[in-house]
Amino acid sequence: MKVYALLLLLLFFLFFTSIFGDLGLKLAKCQRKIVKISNAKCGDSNQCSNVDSKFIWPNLPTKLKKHVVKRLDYVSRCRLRKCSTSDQELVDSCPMHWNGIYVSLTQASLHIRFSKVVTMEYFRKNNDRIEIKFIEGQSFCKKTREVVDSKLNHYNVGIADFLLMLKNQSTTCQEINFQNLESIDTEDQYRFIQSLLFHLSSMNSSWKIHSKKLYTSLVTTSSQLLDILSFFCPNTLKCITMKEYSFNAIETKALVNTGHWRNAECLDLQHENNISIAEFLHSKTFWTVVPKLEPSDAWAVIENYREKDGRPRGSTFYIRSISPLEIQNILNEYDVPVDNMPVESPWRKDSVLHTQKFPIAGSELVLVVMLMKFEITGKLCLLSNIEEDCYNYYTADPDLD
Amino acid sequence: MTDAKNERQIKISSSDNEIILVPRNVIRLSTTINTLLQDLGLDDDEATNAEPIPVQNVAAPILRKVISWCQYHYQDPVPTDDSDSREKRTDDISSWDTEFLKVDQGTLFELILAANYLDIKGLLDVTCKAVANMIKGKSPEEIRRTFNIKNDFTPEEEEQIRKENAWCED
Repeated sequence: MKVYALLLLLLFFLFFTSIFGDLGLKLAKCQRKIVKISNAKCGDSNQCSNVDSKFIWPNLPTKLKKHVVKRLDYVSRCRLRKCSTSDQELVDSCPMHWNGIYVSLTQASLHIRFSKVVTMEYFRKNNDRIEIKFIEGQSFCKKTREVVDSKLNHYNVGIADFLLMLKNQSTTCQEINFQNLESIDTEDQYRFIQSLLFHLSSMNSSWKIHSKKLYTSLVTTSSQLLDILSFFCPNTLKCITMKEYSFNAIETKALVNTGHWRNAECLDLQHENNISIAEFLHSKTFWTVVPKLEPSDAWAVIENYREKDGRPRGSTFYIRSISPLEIQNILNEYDVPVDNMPVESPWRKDSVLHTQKFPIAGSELVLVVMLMKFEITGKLCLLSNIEEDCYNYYTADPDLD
Repeated sequence: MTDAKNERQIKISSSDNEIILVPRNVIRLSTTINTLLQDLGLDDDEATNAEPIPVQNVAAPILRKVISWCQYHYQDPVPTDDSDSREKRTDDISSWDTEFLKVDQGTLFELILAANYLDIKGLLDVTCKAVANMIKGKSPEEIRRTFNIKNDFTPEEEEQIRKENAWCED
């Protein structure tokens, strides 16, 4: 019995020690350290121990990786994009905001510049070779890479890279600019535009370029130009500048009926065209070249720009007529006493034949209209700042914001 | 920086059950805790909260580090919204923050996670800038090595990705 009693006691002892011992351990563990943070200094806890290897870039939530990508320049994004499939998806999902992308043609190359310091040059070489020069910062940072692919030409490679810059549909751009850096074959320009259109057509059907401005001085057919325009978002595009084109009557109708034209705040056509002046009057600023400007059309523009609560300060029109203006007939249309009051302007003094200031009723603005032998131009200036406004203002690139 | 010593203290507890007392004005930088205090009506109370506010996703070493950052920055102007897609500068990290961020990569990523969980905009901003600076100027292969990224492109994908933006290859 005594043995049994001793055994029982031992068992009870073991049982209680195991339970309370465990509980005691748990309680001890739960006794939390209280730390008062008061005057922490830089460097006090810079080196944290127990770093878990799960805290690595690939395991970071996408939302937080996007915070990092947002802080990367485009070159760094492109390099990160080449690391893995998830990084490729990550970079592609982060939109860019471009100030301007400038695509230029030379006899032997295609240039893409997207900041003051970054340019890519795609050169045509012999034997299926394409040479790509990447210039970042000063010329001594130039890197050259050769790509050998018989299926590609330097236009295709450059245009593919250009479209990658705009692939994300939330990417925006202040200006897209297509131009010649030197006189080059018209055939080459057509070939470039064809390549561009081919690549544009291969994008998702709902994909659009969200650029505020489009400038093109490449020689194109009007249908090509209309096709290019169709890839721009009409609600974003506010300024269209075109050189080297010609539209027939049908194409003119098609152009002025596009949403791009209707929504544009700045229209700048630097080549002779037959688009009626009335088609420009919805814009804040326009430049155009017409075969002959009728005095009634000139007066219609002036009246339109004099509308109360119409355009803002800085709005401008400029019409160049291939035939000389009928100055006296235009002045005869004026509904105020004709009063020549010259102001300082970027135009040569002796070329300005007449300057009239039209006050805008109920506004602090005045419309300054200048007549020259072949041109009429007008600008809305602040009454108290006419001289400065007149001087600064004659540009086809007004601040659209 | 004014002395936050004598201000009301808030008790918070880390994921590993360490309780930390933080001056109310300092922890104000955490929108998560700030909102919680206001929603629970604990902001009106003058006394220290009896029950600590659990910060379940952040371990004590990181939480202490986060609080030391808040301690230094709690009087900074409120950071502006950075929701737009414009490229942000990364060369404007203050010397104090540069010292503060001299940590191993794991700690840096833990700080990002903590800043996000606690919704501390300024800390999230500066830690992300630090990671961005670790990427800048590196080739794809160097980035892979820096961040333990596995190249998981198939040979076909690899060929395609090498063609895209070929100018930025190594």
